Amino acid sequence: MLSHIKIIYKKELLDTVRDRRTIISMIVVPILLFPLLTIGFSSFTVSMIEKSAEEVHKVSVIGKDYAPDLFTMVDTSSKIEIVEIDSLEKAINDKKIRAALVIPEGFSKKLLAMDSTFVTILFNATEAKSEFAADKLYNIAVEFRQQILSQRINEKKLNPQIIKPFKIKRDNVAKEKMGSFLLSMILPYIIIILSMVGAMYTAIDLTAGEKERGTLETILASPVPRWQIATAKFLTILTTSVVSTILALASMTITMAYGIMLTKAFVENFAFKITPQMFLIIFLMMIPTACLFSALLMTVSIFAKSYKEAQSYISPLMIIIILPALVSFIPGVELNLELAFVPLVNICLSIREALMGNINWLYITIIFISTVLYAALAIFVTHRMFEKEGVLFRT
Amino acid sequence: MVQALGITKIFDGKKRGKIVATDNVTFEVSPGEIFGLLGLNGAGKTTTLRCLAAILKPNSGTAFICGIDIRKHPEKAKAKIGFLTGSTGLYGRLKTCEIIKYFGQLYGLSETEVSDRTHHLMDILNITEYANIPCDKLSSGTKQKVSIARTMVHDPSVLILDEPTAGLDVITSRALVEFINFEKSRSKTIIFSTHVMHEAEKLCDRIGIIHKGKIIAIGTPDELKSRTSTDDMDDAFIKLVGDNREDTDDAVTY
Repeated sequence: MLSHIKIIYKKELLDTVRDRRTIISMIVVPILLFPLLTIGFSSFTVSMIEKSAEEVHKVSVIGKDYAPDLFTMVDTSSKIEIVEIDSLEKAINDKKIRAALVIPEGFSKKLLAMDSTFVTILFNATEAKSEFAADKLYNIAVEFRQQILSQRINEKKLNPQIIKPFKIKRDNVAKEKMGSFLLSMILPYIIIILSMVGAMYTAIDLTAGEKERGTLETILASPVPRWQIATAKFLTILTTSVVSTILALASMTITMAYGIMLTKAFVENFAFKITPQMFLIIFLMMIPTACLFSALLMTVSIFAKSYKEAQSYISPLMIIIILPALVSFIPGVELNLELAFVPLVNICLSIREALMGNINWLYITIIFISTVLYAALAIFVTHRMFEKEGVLFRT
Repeated sequence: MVQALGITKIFDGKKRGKIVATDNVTFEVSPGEIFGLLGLNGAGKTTTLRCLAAILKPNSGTAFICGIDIRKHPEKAKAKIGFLTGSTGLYGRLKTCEIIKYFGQLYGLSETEVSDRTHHLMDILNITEYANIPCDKLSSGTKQKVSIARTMVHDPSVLILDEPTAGLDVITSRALVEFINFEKSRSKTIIFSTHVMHEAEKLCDRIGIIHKGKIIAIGTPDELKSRTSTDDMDDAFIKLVGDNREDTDDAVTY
């Protein structure tokens, strides 16, 4: 009994390994995607941030005569270039200058008289560079205010502590950096897609491909019960899916651990360690998912008459799978009891949580069991399809 | 020995409604006999043969292959059959010897039996030089020889051949005909379908004419000719099929 499944499985695997398309989607893509993606992603964002931080900001100062000391501070500070301009708002929106400091008339006099007064900083909040320039001007203004304050305290011979009863310290206790937070949103999505794509060609080749080449009839004529043929084919498809998933996971873990060799920026902003526990949980989540995908792919492609037809059926299936997987990109969505039963959404969220170090074993158990049930249902449907003459000999 | 007993197969097509592909098909073929199933395209030849090979399940009726009921023990019956069609493909990425070995294993042969049979068949079919070549790289004639080797690997008692010469060149189809005759001399029960009349006349001991799913005549080529008072198989066939010819479009090739 089992020996037939084993014989067919071995043959299908040999056939699959000799198929270049499968090798690319099952092995090459999962291995290369993570290093390329993380290097690309991190170096791109880091370079953007560095570039705008190091840029010399063009600013305007209106009413420099009303506060010559403040103007000198702006003028002498690094990475600031003062530009004379007429229409401030237009110049900022047209990016001729990034921000402007407006000093009102009689500013210095009011300071001396200890009257209340203000300065205004104009900027464009939709432009990162404008915000950087405005921050710079703000910091200069704060420093200037501090100088004035110190002068006044000295004049009055007061204890400096009078205006600073206590200090406030800010400590960031976040376990991961902002970049790792971003990666934890992207990685679940990629793992899910890869485990599907890895199995796609095999699923088509073993079913619709066999119909097209006329080999399906031959195997159906052999003294092997159909469920055994279907099981062997399913196991082959599952194998390719699991191999892609494991390679993707391994590649991801190694990329994170040895990212230091890749780029300095990557380590500073993005690297986080994937612990054996995280690895285990993701693996646990992905095994029933791979079963579900393999059965879905097989069901769809056994129905098709040809390779091409199968591909056109799989495209919409792909979209149906991508949509729930996209949920990991929505920062507000958190795993709860209801979502733990929603196929794929639950997998995606649990992987994201695991990557961020939040491990809830109750949810993990629920998700594992529910996905096993969904997969079992899909496998049942596949086997039913394989028993139907109308599907196998569709004309 | 093959006995077809009232095989009826109905396809329930969504677009075309119910189609009776074979209607109460009954005949018997003895060991050492070649039985030809002759019919137009869509007459029900392929469906009949697929039912006999237990690939399709008849709606009613059954067949016995060497005394085994295909409905009750399809796998046991299949083990006695070698099934080959003209459109059979091969696994392109597998080598010739791997394909023969694979089917040998599926038919339950031991390792030594598989290797003995593989060598033997490659030898008589003259394909030993292609043993380690992937099937994609073979010519269509050689491919058909590999298919024959694959069909014969378990030395089946019954051979079911569905238009095996379709698309073959003269030399390959002659080799195939020789092969069929050779298997006949080894007391195999052979059923094959064709729409090439002279091929059937030359090769078959008896011919069954199938039309719109029904067997309308069975007999030796000479009997069929004398029954229709013709001296040519083509004429005999056309006479037997007669007036219904234009209606055959209703049938379906399954």
